[in-house]
This record gives sequence, C-alpha cells and structure tokens, in this order.
Amino acid sequence: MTAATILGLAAIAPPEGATRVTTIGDEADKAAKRLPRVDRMALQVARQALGSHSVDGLGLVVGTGYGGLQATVDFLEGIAVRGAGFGSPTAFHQSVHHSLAGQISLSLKITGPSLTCTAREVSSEAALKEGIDLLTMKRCSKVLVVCSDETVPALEAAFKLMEAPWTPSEGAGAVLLSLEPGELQISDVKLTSRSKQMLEWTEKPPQGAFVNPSAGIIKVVEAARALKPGESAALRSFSLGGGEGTVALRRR
Amino acid sequence: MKNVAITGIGMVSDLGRGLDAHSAGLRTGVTALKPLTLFQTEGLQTRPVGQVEDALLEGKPNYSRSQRLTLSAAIDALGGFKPAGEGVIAIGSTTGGIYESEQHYLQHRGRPEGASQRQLLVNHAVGTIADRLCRDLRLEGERHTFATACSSSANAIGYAAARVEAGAPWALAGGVDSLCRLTWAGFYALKLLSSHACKPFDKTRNGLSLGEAAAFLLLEPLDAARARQATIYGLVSGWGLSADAYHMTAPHPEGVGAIAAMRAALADAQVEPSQIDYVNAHGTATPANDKAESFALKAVFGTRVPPVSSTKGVTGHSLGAAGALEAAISLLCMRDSFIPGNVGLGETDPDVSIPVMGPAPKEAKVSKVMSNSFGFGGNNTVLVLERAP
Repeated sequence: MTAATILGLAAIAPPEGATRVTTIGDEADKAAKRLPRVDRMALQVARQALGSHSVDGLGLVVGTGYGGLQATVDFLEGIAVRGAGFGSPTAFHQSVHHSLAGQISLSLKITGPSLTCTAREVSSEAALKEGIDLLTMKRCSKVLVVCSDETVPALEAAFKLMEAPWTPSEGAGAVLLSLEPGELQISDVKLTSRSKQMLEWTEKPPQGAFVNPSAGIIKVVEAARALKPGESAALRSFSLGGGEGTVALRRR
Repeated sequence: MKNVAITGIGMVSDLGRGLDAHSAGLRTGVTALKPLTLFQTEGLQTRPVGQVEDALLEGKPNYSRSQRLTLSAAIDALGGFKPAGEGVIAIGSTTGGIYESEQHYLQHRGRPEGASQRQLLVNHAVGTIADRLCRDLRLEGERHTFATACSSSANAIGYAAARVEAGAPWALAGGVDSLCRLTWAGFYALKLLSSHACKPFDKTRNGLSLGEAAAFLLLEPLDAARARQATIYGLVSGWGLSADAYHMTAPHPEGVGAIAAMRAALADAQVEPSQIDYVNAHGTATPANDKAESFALKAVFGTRVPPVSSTKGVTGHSLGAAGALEAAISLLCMRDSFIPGNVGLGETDPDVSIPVMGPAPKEAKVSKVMSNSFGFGGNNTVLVLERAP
C-alpha cells in the first residue's frame, strides 16, 4: 500500500476515566453549538486538522459507527410522543450518517469527493483505508479523514440489555493526508475479517472497557504525536462484527 | 475504468426478485407502488410505497429486514461463483437494521427494559449487514459499508469497481434499505412524501414515494471473467463523486455538484456525453430535485440530451439501495434493449429544462448508460455503465 503523509491531525477524547467528552472547543462558534454533539466533535477536529490548508483538490471521508444517535433518539421520541406526523425534520436529517460529512463540507466549503463509511468499532480503519484509496486512485490530491461517535443514554441502556461488560464511549479524530513525501506517515492500513457469530469480537476488549467506534483514529492521532524520529507503531482494533483493522505509522 | 466486468446481478424490489421480473415489470409502464402494509402510520393518510413481498426474502426470522433483503439479492448476484482470494464486499445503506431497533425504542423509549426483545437491537448498526452477509455466505475479504444517504450504494459500486480496476480479484457490491417508520415519518415531516404514486418530472409532482430494495453486482477483472466464460452483463466504467457544500437537505439549485459528478464519471469512463444512450435519473419527483437535475443534465449534455427517465415511479425511492437498483436496471436496459418510461408522467414541468421520456417504455439498443444518485448532505454520485466490447 502507498504510504500517506499526515499533514494535520486533531482529536477530542473524554477525560481519563470518563465516557463523555466534556469540552469540544467550539464554544465561540454559535452556529456549531446548535448542532448535535457528534457533528460538533467532527466539525471541530476537521477544522483543526485542515488548519490553513486549501480545500482545492480536497476529498473528505467520514467514519462513524452509529452516526447521529442523539438525533435518531430525538426523532423517535418526537413520533412516540406526538405521533408519526410530527417528527422533527431537523432531527431526521441529522440522524442520517452522512449528515456529519454534509455539515463538514458545508462549513469548510469542501466540494470534492465525499464519502461516509461505517464498520462498527473499525469504522476509523475503514475510513483511513478508503481515504488513502481515494488518493491512490487520484480522485483527490489531499483527503481529510474524520471519525466521530457520540454516546447517549439509549445506547448505554442497550449495552446493559445485551449484558455487555463494556461501556459505550465517545470522541472524534481527524487526519489530513496526502501522497506527497513527508516526515510522519501512515504506511499501511489493513482490514481483515473473520466470519464470526454476530456480536462476537475477534479479540474481546477487557471487561469494563470503554468502547468507542471512533477510537481507532484517536489512537492514531495520539500515537502520531508521540512518535519520535525513526520510530514506528502498529495499532490494532477489533469490531463486534468480526472485523479487524491495523494501522501502521512511522516517523522518518 | 475499462477492466471491470459485471458477471452477476441480484435484485429484489416491489417488482419482484430477479432480472426477468424487473425487466417485465419496467416494460409494462405501470407503477408497482401499493399501499403500505408493513407498519401502521397512525391515522395519517396512506401513501403508496414500493414494498417487497415477504415470500421473496431469504434469511432467518430473527434477521433484520435489511439483512433478509441483502441476502436475497447477494445470493442471486453470486450465482454459483466461488470467490477465491481476498475480495471486496461493499454495501451501501442508509438505515441498516433500524426497522427493528425503532420497534424496541418506540416500545421501551430507550430505558433499560425490554430484555426479552433485545434481539431487535442486535442489528441496529448499519455495518452489521456486511458482517452477517459475510458470515452467512462465508465471504472473506475487506468489508466496506457506505452510508452517504441516497447515493450510498452507487458509491459502494464505484468504490468496489475502482478496487477491482486496481487489482482486487473480485467484489460484491450493492446496497439495501428496508422501509421503516423513521424514514417514512422523516420524509413526511420534511413534506417530501407524495400523496399519490410519485410522478418524476411531472408538472403536478409533489414529492417522492418510498420504496425498499436490495441489489448487488458481482464484479471481476474483465480478463478473468472472460477466462472462466462468465456471462458479462456489462462494465462499470465510470465513477464520479462530489459534494454540493450548499444545503443539508436541498440540492444546489443549479446542480453545480451534480454537474461535477457527471463530468467526473464521463472522464473516468473516457466517454463523451454524445455517446450516452440513456440516463437513469435520480428523479425523486421532489420539486427541487427534478428541476436541479434537469438543469445539470442540460449543462452536461447541451442540446443533445439522451433519453432521460426515472424509474422511481415504479419502484419508489429505496434510498441507500437506489443507486444499486438503478445500476442493475440500467444493465437490464442493455441486456433487453429497452428504455424505461417516466411512469406517472402526464405533463412535463416547464421548469424541467430538458426533454424527458414519456410514461411508456421504448425499444432501443442501449450500450452506454449514466446512472445518477444524489443524497442528503449534498452528496452526488454518478456511475457510467457500458456494454463489454
């Protein structure tokens, strides 16, 4: 696989020991504050990773495990309380997974190729693979890969109902990639899968672990920041559907 | 792209299951939309939908409806093909297993209760469709699930084709969406649901009709397909995509993003606009879409616009499945030499700035087709499909 250079990166994660993000960092942006948390986190990391780079020739790939969960709950709650004819139009369009990419492209004026992908807990790895594929296919000269997920009480309740010994968590991360030579690179992304029973991990997280479908890209951002010259790292993630993703990083 | 052969097609919609059912249904020039019976809409006026007969669905009763639709079309697309090597499984879907998870939510409202019905929650995540499909059909390969709203499965096909062009030994690509309360009530809330069977490009159109479907294509390198003497239904030769960056639910009024995607797909296919024999339009029958799409088609094709029709007057809008279903329909047009009509069309809207097909189908040799898919969030995806040389 062709290596991609990281031109920019950003991540938002909950404080140590917490499942929810406490500060998104967009408090001065009045328009953003009206958006659902999953959109706000995605937009904030996208903006930070893009920095001052131009959007000319820029592609966008968004990864998300569950998309707009709060909007989905809000919409269903509306029709449960008020009836089928009285759902919130705003909550409906925000419940669509691609809403995050739409919001980012609208806010940052990105008109190039735009994809949203979802792959449970390896959504980040799938998004990184597809982003680098867009570069190698020459469909864009830079690509912004953004992953974001939020947790809501209904998801936490569902985990309890399934008797899952983990707690859902949230956060977002973004990397700006190009095929130009550079110091810090994603040298490989591998997606593999095993035909497992449903809801069976290839490798289970430890009991009590926090599970965030977008955790993969947050790990990539944190590892990239920590790498010293000459070092490399391989980051593995597993999904509840039998998927596995590995991202290899190196700093020249 | 010139090396991506389509060697299998599976499709299930309100027209039935399989190629012949769809070809025959489209050639009648009559809508297949019927009253919704899958769920209640609590006192609201019934709207016609494209609902699939349960008897056509594969899979176990505890599978989600989307998974059963997927399995039906994917089995047909694979036929007797035995995948060798690590391929690509690419699926487009908007809502995944929400038809089941919304039942749980509406009954228990997200509280930690309803354990006896927890099976309804298992398939909520859209990516679960690919997981279950791979397990059931023993498919080993990279799983990609695209969720770009109504262009989801067109992107799945485009991405998978590009991967085959780049060396993947095979790909199974397509999409699915089932009818569900969330999308029905959502489009109702947006005032975009037609009160009658939808009428793409018609002067009196007042919205879309929802449908459900699954469609899958088996893709292989052309030389490998020829070597095993597979039936070649056509080639995926162009994939163009863009973002409007204009509005979350409305298309750019001048179709700027749609124009960019169409031109990108034509360039990818190395095909001139004048070589296109038929455009399967996105044609949702919403006032904004049809007007903007016609504007974009005029910009791309100029004064030589090929026959244009939307098949959503027959199948309804199957959202994440629509791109794959309409790609499969485009291949049927090549196989059976016909162009579907705009079923439901009475008088073309004067705001539609191009000539479009009437309601009746016509016989025609079709060699190159453009298939348009546009989605919420301003996503534009265009495929070019052509006969194998």
